[in-house]
Amino acid sequence: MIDFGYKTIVSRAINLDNADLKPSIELFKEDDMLRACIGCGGCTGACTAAAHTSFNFRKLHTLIRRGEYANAKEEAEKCMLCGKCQMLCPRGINTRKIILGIRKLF
Amino acid sequence: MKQYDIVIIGGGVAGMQAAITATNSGLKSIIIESDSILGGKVAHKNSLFPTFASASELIDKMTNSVTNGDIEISLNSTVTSIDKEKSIVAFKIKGDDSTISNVQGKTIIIATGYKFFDARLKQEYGYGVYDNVITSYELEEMLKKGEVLTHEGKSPDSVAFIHCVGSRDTKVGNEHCSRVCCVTGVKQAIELCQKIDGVRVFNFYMDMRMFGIGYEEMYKSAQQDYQVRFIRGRVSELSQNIDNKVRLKAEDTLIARPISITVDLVVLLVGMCGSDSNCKFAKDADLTVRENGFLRPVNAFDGSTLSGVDNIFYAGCIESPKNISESINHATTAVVNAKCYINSLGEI
Repeated sequence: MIDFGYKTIVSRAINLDNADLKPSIELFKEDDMLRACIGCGGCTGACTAAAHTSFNFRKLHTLIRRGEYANAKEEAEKCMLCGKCQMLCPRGINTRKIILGIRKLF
Repeated sequence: MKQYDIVIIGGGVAGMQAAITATNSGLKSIIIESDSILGGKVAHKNSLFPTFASASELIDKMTNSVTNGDIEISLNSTVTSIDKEKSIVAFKIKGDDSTISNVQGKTIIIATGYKFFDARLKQEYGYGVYDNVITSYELEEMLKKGEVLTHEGKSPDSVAFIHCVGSRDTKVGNEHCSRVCCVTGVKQAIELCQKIDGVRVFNFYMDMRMFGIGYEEMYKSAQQDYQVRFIRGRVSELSQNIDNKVRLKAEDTLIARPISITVDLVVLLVGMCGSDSNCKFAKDADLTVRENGFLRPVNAFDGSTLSGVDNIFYAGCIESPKNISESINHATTAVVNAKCYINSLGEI
């Protein structure tokens, strides 16, 4: 193929038309309340792992719910299951069940 | 037993407006108020959003209308029971438990408002434990007195507001949004900036719900004219440093990283809860209490002042969280509906 010097740049946008959302539906089975997350970040603000690593529970499950699974399992392994996030979640999400679910699913 | 067209329980802005509208409609009413003054929660406020109008001017104006009208007022009076069949309200005066007074109204308007969320229930915010964590109610009283000081008696250099304390929170049993806390936080942030030269103000929010006319403009003005920093994240926990400053931990959700800050003073924007008396009224008079403690009307659209019991009506925050103008309009509607009911009695 002749190289004309052009290259294609892949879009960074999440394309929900092509996203596979089935795994996130599996995840909701762990605790359906996850659907009601309001993204307040209370979980991550209290998180001991988030203070020192890239772990971010809110971001992790939001990415999964948009069909983005890269590094999901690796990220979920950073959680120490201390449960502080669960204690303060204003929607009462069973956060530890979700983390264990992510470890199982991916 | 004294007879009235309307017996109004509660003398806050809703109760007072109900009495004023009753007088203007030729109806005789009595206000039964548990406090020693009229005005309810608004009587303790400094200024009103979004215009910064003086709260005492409004209360003085309404109190004048009430006292100059043909309205009976019974202060320091606690309602002991409601007899819905005979439409009788029994009450006693504070300090005199032995004497029960009975009044009969063709209709009863319940305007007992709300109570503030007890901030001690959010243990992670340390209210009552940390010296420099106060509620928005306490800040409003400080602003009214004209002096905002830390526990140590110093003018604060930095203040953080925490939105949604006791609202939208399943952990404290309040699923509802109290609606007015967002704009109260913006109003108080601006007042602090006006009052204290160079103060840095941070508002930690989940959503800014600027539902009223002029609210969004006020929010924009706080950002632009007063440099208030709005950070999107629910505060996870507070801790007190050795110098009595307060450290906040949250996630800045817009950049997906934990964030912390140390400030001189933290203000908890406490939400609205159903009054303690609601359950008692409901039991006496067959009214329905919502899960969140407010009383449920017939419907949310054209029946929000109707209790479901023909002779009993709701006015103001007894039914759901409202701002002042909504409470006042609700009270007027309640009186119009009460008058329709009274007229229907005349035809029999």
